[in-house]
Amino acid sequence: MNPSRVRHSEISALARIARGSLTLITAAFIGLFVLLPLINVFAQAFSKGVGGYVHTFFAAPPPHGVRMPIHQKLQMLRAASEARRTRSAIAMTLVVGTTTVAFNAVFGIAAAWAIGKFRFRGKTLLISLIDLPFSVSPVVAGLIFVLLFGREGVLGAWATHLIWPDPFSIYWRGFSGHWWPLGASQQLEGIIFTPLGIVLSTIFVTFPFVARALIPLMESQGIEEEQAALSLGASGWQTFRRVTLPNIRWALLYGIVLCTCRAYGEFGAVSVVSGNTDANDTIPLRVEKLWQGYDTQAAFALASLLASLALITLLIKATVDWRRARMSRISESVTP
Amino acid sequence: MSIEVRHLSKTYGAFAAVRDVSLRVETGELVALVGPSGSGKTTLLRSIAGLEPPDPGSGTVLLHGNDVAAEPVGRRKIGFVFQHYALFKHMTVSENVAFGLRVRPWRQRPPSREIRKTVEELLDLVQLRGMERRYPSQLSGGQRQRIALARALATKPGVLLLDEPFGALDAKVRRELRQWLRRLHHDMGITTLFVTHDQEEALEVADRVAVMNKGIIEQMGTPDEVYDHPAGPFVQMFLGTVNLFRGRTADDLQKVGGVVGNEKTNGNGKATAYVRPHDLEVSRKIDGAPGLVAEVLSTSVAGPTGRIYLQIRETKELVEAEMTRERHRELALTVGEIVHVSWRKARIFTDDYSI
Repeated sequence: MNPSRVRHSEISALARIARGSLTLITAAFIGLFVLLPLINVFAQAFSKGVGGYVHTFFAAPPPHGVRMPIHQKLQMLRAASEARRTRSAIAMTLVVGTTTVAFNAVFGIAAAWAIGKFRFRGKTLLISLIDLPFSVSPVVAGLIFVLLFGREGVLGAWATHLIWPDPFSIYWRGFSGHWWPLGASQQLEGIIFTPLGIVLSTIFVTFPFVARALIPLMESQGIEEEQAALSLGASGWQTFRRVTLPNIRWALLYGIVLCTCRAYGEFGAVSVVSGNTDANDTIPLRVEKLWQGYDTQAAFALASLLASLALITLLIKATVDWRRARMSRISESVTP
Repeated sequence: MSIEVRHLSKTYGAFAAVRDVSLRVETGELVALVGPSGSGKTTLLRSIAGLEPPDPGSGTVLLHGNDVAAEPVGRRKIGFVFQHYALFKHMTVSENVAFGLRVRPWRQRPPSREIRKTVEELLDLVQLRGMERRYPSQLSGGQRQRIALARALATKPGVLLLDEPFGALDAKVRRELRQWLRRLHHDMGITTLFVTHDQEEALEVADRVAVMNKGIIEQMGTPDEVYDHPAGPFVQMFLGTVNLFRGRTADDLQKVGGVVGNEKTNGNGKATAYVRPHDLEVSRKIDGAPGLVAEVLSTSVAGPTGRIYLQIRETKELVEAEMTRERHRELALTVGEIVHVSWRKARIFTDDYSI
């Protein structure tokens, strides 16, 4: 047998062992640290059955005119108010998350566009600044906003007297006598310890996600297609909508999904600026409170919502990757 | 629509890409901008298109006699074909071609039936009917090139600007597309300016050729003019291979390195005589005719052409002679043989030559 073949077969045997053990280690790690906890979340959430799970979110108050023992009545009242708080936390998370993602999608596209398609001074500095929230602890991020907009903060005098409409009290008032059809029945004051503070700190923490997903792609795509569109008479907006946006749509979707997950799940920064009031609870804050109140099942039931979101994210990411792979396969197979 | 450039300059930092260039392309002409990479040809083309602003106050671009400095690229009525085609990857072939018509404000936009008809006509023109539903990634390089051209023509531009139109294609497709572009231009009569680094392509396709070097146009003229009467050593050397005979001009200013030029030089001192390989004649018999004695170093035949590499005995210069395959066989030279070398045409430029 010729020596190079011997060496080759030895290497491939080694490679097989290496491949096998690496796969095993990875699978074991993922099983232990990701899969098992995830299963546990759902197991705990349904520990009182489907009824118990639903009861966490929807608990009826004691019916009127029905006689029952006072302790049972109190228990029902308490469960109803707990469920109401949980629902309010979900609503808060949805509003905060959606607002945050909308802002960060716009900022992210703008930043990625500037960095990916133009040359200017201080570009590297801008990229580092975009990455900053990744390296700052969320708690510190929250504190930054407290020190900025809090009573004693740099902008405190202005911020604590800022009056703005409560998004949960917005109603339709029509156009008669108004140019703007939406009204708010309640107003809020200040930034810190209000939903506005929560939105601001969440924006800060999740800023890099969309921009990071887009920058490498937009840099690699260059500006030739945009220039071609302009040379064909398209306006700036048409060029963006019909050429730039379709070219980045999958990366944008991916960035938005990641950003959404992080925004919904943010705890540290939100914890600092929310002021520990029930009205300002988001899902993670509410989970923490339920857990501290020894209501393990309710805590996990609420946590299971976030876990499901993570699973959906995974699904979307897999779909996007699969689509991309399929697209590149098509182009490879058909090009002569 | 004619193109006129007057005293245009473009600098990037300290690098002058285009230096005070003036150029005129008449209506219906097909002109090639040819030069080595970095000679400023693409920058000049992009400045004409409006993709690259010229240096402030440096000059003007006139299309059809009108100064277009204030007009953005989309309003200059030009069709631009990019080097790498820049087709819209997410659109089908017909969407790509229709793009320029679809983005018009709705008052000027033709009805969609008309757009479809235009697209069909253009795909007929570029011989790609039946590819409407394909995506650019599903086309070959030559097909992408033709789609890019169809897309640029859809808006009925007055001027067609092409940046290295065949640069990314393999040799065979290139040659086919050259002839095709020539015919297309002949049929449509649209003023066309294209950039290429390939001198053969420029000489074969264009009505007139502008040879660029280091940001200036060295010479502009018909392919015959620039090939047969190069204005300087750069043009002489750029448009095909050339043998150099270095030396000093003698008293009659016509003989350098043993070679007698067709014209007298314009100066005294160090000079070089330039002779194209196919203008060198190699023979065994050493008669009284003007010529040089050389030793055969090697011979080769590639397809229709035979080459002989020689060393001039007196000056030790290495030169190359080109001939037909038949002539090569007839000579049947062996390495080391001493031969007589004469020339049909030689041009002499002094070494400090500048234009």
